[in-house]
Amino acid sequence: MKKKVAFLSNTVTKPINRFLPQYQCSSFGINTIAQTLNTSIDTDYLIILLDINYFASDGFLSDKSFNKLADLVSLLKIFRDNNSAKVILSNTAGNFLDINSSINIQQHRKVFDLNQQIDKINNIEDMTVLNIYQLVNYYGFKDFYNIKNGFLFQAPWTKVALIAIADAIIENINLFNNIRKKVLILDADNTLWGGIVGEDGVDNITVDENYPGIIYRFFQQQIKHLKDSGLLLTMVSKNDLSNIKEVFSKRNMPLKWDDFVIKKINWNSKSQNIKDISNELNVGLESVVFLDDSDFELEEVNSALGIDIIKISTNNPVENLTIFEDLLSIKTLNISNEDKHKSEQYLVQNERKNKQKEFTSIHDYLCSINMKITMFLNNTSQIKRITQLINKTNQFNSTTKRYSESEILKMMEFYQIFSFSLIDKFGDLGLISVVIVKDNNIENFLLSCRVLGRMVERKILYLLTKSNNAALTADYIKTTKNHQIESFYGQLSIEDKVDDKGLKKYYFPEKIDNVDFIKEKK
Amino acid sequence: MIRKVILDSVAEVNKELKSEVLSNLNNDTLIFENLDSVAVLDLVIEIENKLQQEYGKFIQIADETVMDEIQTPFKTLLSLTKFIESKVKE
Repeated sequence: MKKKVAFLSNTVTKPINRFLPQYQCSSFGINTIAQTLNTSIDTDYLIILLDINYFASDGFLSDKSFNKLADLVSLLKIFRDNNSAKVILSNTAGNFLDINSSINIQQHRKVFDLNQQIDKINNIEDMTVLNIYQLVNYYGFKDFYNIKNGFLFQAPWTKVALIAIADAIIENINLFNNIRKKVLILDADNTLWGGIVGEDGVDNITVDENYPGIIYRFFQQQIKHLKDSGLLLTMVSKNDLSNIKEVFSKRNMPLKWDDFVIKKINWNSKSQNIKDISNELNVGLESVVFLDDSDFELEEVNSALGIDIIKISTNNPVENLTIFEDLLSIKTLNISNEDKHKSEQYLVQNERKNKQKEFTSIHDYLCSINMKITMFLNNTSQIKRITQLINKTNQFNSTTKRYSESEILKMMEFYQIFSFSLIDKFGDLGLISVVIVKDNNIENFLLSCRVLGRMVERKILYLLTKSNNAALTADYIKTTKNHQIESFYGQLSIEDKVDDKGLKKYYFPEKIDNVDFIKEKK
Repeated sequence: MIRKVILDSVAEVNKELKSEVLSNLNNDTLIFENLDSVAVLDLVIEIENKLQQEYGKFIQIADETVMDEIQTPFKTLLSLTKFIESKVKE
């Protein structure tokens, strides 16, 4: 059964349908925009494709254009409440006709400001931006627009544009459903720089401001951006450690030694090193991508592990600059604050593990790291992270009930949705737990796996009991992964019962012992 | 050359329409009659795209007569060929 795509546009969008044969397409005229967005639409995806004339008056943007966008965003929020369809809203490329350069610059500034505002809809659940501005820059205004056809038929797109827009729509739809890779595993020689450091020497590898070294710098910069978007970088290289370290200390490069959370620089097989990385990071092999210039190494890894591999070109390194453009599995629609600091979080976590080894008992260690926990109630500003935790946590999750952002916002009117953040002497771990309570019953209790084993759950149950000033009960639905919470509830409860639907209810005493070494932060 | 551009463009648009008439074109085949308005637009876009590839420049073929049942140059293959030839010469 084909998924449904509905267009809402001030242009004729039917010519795009030809390039979206995998979808069942329909369209709504812009005159019905308020009516359309106020009702429930039977579609999986709503594409709002607006050319400049929607915002502009006679082709030119003005301050009124921003009011029109604000009205549209208000309508979209109403739409969000009544529909489950995912929304893709186009930004705008503006009018590139050069009437007068100062007017043109003014208009471009307005286009830029308008697009910045449009970009904010990325913060609304299941909404994203179709980057028409980028497409027009890539293909050129004259190859993208047919002005006369725009006026004659309200169909301003050339065939080039129609295909590009259809491809961008498909990519955005795929990204809505994409499970993103977590780790990039990179070779070093002839991948991060040109040449082999062990043979050519640190001064002769190419990674500088001249051709072809400049290409490797650009490639490294792309990788650095991927790191900043939440991918963990690791390195696997058959080399002497001292050689690679020397490159990072002597050569000025965009990527630094500490950008890589794990470095496996040795003479072991690459498949073994990749397996070790997967174990150390606690991520499955399906979540990693391996990049190398050597067919031998790629084949060895592929046959041993069957993971995604990417060939790096040594003959024409400029080709490498387009690798990530087409690699959907590393793309994401939204970059959360959490994503931006993933590498740092991993390194701090590693430091915690190393410190832990210095203590003879886990209790002594936990007492030494100055944990402070903060409790929040129905905090809408944390909605993105709360939703992420509810939908991603599997191990310590009492019922694995999943909720969307809008559902959680609605629940906050009737439920107590507690959230907890944690800091310790190594750094801020951010929001690490969510507990959903109704009438003194814990309907869902979940804790990020990053803080398992720190007795944080005990402290949270203590705080909840204290806050509600009552004996609590808790629901538990068994899954293949959530046995930890069953034993936690079992240790602290005084009674449990299973109903005929398989729901287990635990009964806790009125007082739960405090965990002194985790301080409450007001 | 222009005839080939038109035949290829009609074939492209007809992939979706699957019209038997349009898959066996001769000079007198009624094209416009066998297209809905979106398909006419598709055909305009296809022809403009192929002309740009052939001649290396954009040649605008659409005007206010295109969708006009009586005046349309898209009536038959012959009329469309003559019309495009005149546009290319402009």
